[in-house]
Amino acid sequence: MTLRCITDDLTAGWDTPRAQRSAHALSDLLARHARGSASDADVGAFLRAVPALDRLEHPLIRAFSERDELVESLRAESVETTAGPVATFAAGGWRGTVLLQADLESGHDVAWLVAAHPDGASAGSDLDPGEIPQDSDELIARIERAAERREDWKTALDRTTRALLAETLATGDAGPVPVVVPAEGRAPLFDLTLSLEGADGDEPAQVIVVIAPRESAPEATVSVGTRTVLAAIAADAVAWTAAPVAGHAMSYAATIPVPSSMAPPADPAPGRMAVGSLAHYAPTAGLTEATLSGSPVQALCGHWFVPMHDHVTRPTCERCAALRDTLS
Amino acid sequence: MATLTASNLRHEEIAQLEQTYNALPPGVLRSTLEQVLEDLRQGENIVVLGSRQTLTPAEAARILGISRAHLCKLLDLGAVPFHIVGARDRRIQARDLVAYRKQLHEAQRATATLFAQSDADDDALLDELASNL
Repeated sequence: MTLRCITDDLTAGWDTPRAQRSAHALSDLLARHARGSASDADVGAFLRAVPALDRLEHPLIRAFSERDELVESLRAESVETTAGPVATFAAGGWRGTVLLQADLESGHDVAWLVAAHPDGASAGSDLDPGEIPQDSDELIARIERAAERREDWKTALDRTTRALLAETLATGDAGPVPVVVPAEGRAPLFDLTLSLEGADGDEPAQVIVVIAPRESAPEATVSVGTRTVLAAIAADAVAWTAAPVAGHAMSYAATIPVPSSMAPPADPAPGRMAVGSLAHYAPTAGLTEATLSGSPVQALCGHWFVPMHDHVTRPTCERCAALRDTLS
Repeated sequence: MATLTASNLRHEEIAQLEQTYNALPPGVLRSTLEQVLEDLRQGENIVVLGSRQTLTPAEAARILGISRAHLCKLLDLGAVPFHIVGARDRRIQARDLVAYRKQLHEAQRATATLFAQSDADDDALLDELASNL
């Protein structure tokens, strides 16, 4: 649906005023993006924080989004206009106008909810030029597609890692596997190698993950990939110890099996790494600054972490507590 | 390998060390002792290494705060220089270990940031992907 339709046409009938407010805020952000003072990432951050446009709580939007067969039936009764085939439908006391646009990339039609008015009020059959999808609507659709592609990539990487882990547990190692970002003509991002290092005296066996970024691989993308790989094996930051290898390669070690207190949540989202599941003790010097600036500090137990405000609700790290007791 | 475990020291012992420090004339020894005192107060353990001293993988792993398995993997990967004594025992030079420890802490700091700013990285990845759509 177009943002203009949400902010200008759907002036009433909302389940909560919150949805309408976030649509207006998105409008403002897109205006800034058009002026070059906001990035795709800023728009992405906003879209992540609010429900998707097609999930906004309005009866007309619900009817439009939740019924796949609606678009099919509208296609049959559509009327040709200068902007393309158009049809209308009614739901919850509202009437919406739908424009079917051919999408050259996918070969499918894209259905846009372009205009709406209370059912019964008269409206012309042709579209006002202001009502056809604008650049800002294309931008939202593009960023939503990119977010979808990112989540698909994380899911695929999560599955690949789980398969490599199973192979490693069975045979001792797996890889190197080149990991690629799902974009046209992209070079591999990094090489992924897993190995199992055997139990040694009092130490349990560890899985060691080596991530070797290729030259000029974008840093944020490597970060998301790294986090997704590690979270597929142990989804709690405290499970992992990092150490640098040659170049920009890193090795990460975790004990297998992961202790049950660090078990991933029942429905883990790929790439979700739990942080702050334990409260650590750290030297007080510079701690306040680190909490405000989000820079990492080293705990008494040796674990590096970014301090958070709500540590009082978390169980305390046993090693840190023991060390602290002997200090005071 | 002489090790001062901060948690095993009594306050009186640290106080005595501080008196010694105060009595020293300005110089390398005084500033080194100042660092030692500062680290002990922060709960940091002190390991005294001669720069030509060599360490076993187990000792090196303990100083770095990583598992022996992880350290051995790092030796395999050539991340830390070592030499072989006897048939196949690996030894690490103290100065190589100290140099590596700095890199290790940088890497662990970067990893803590990586885990903490996951949403920001997710958003930044959109720039990369959206420009390709």
